[in-house]
Amino acid sequence: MTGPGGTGPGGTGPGGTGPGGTGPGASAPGVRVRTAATRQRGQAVLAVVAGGLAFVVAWQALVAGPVEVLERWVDAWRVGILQPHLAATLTEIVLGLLAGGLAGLAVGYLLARSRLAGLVLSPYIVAAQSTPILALAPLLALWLGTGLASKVLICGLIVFFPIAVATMVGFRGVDPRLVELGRSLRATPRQILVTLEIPAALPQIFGGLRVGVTLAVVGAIVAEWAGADQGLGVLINLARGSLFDTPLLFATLLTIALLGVALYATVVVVERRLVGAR
Amino acid sequence: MTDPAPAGPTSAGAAAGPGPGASPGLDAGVAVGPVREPGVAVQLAGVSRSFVVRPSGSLLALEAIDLSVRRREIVAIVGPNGSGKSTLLRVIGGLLAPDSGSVMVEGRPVTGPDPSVGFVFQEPRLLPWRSALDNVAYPLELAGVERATRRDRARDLLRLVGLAGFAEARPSELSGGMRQRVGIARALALGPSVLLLDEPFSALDALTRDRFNLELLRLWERTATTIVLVTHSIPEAVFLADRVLVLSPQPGRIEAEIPSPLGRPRTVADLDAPGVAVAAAGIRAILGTPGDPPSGDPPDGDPARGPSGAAPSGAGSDPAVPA
Repeated sequence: MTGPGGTGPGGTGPGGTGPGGTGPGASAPGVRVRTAATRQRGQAVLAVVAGGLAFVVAWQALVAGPVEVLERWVDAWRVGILQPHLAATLTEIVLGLLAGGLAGLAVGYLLARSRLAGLVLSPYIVAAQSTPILALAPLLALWLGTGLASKVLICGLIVFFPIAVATMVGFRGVDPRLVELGRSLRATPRQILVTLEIPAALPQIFGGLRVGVTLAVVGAIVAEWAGADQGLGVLINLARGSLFDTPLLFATLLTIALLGVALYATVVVVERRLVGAR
Repeated sequence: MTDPAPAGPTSAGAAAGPGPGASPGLDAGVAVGPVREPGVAVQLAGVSRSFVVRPSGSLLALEAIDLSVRRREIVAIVGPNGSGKSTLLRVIGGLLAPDSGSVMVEGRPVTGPDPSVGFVFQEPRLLPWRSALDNVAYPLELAGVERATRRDRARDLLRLVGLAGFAEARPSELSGGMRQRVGIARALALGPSVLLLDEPFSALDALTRDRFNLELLRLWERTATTIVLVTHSIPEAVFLADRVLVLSPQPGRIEAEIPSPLGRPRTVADLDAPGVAVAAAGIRAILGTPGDPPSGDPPDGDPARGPSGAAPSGAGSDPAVPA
């Protein structure tokens, strides 16, 4: 909150509204814009840091303080409590993303291509999406057992919807004039799909993936709560229910949050590489 | 198919048709009816095409079009909105099938997009995620030409359209005119013998447009192609073309065929040549678009138009003759 207050008057004053902006000559504006942009970036970083500090200070007043949690986190990592659970959860997430993502891509494409498919499938897809996964998870664990399969399925289910919708929107939005260009160059349907439609739909698909990857983390934890013997969700239950280790509980939550950020960042990096500047 | 003709030296004029150029002569010998002369690049006979329109039924966009374009000729098509100009171009290019009639390009019946036809659209239609070079190389990539070869050729074509220094630029980094140049270079990638242009410069300002028209003629001289061009601008049509076809609206029919008064080669000065103005006035008269009054006016209510004023009621192609 200190950030925005500072940027408002400070940022726009000299850069944007300056009536002399056009006057002082051609060379000045370029330099001025750059320094304004740098300043803005600096202010953004400052705001994030300030927000984080405020959060930590408030946190200190609560049960398990940040120092305590950090110590516990380092300790748990050194002893090797966190790693196997992290690995288990990460495996579930990656497999769930893969399964749900591929299914979402396929169904999204189908929905974009076929009106009939849209009419037939949409009600089921929306109904499935509206059913709380939290209620569904124990059932699925009952049917599929408490092994990897039920986790991957729950993760996949939760990831499926945003990716399917994003894919549908992406393919529907492909410029038909580009497709006509492809046809005029005798591109085969496969070439049109690979060289025109997929690249054109990619920004939207990645939008869905960004949402999906964060949901996948939630899905994995929920699935583990429904019955599992490893995973960060299990560790939360252990720390809370049987160990009464509140610092470990928070250390686990911290790990989950960091995992989410790391996965999201991975998606962003891949997106930059594939979508690039357009 | 990757004939170097377009990028070749200026003298390549005679080597017009690459592979396909030789075939029509042979085919004609085997009694393919419609081909009357070996030098015909595009031939349409009795072509009609209609479209389904949701509420009312169907719309006849083209009716009984007969058209023959000689090799190396430039034909311009003008007409009001809805006269089927773009439809006609798409039928020639194999993007739309006619309901009836026959379409031949280089002596072969058109059943779909043909490798000897290059298409330049109204918008550049570049792939925004590809560099200029990769956009020009795109048709070669689709045709299975290997990477090094297609990049070399794309580089030659970019040089031909004056964009040698912009090979790695993204479309978003280029101006509107530059993008359309990339579009033209791409259309030349497969070494087509027929170039179809659908209002290619309509998005450009008047000055740029004049320059592009001159460049197009220069390109035409160097690449030995046959050009069929759709345009909204009557003076542009007269300046570029050997013949101007005037289409009537709904159904699109060839109302008149006006030869350009200009010889070749053409220069900037020809843009303002008196013959151009006279021919353009003749075409306007056929289209029934008098300068000031709305089109509802009877033709004789416009005394200021002089000899061409009588044209709209007349049979059609006469008014151009005095030119």
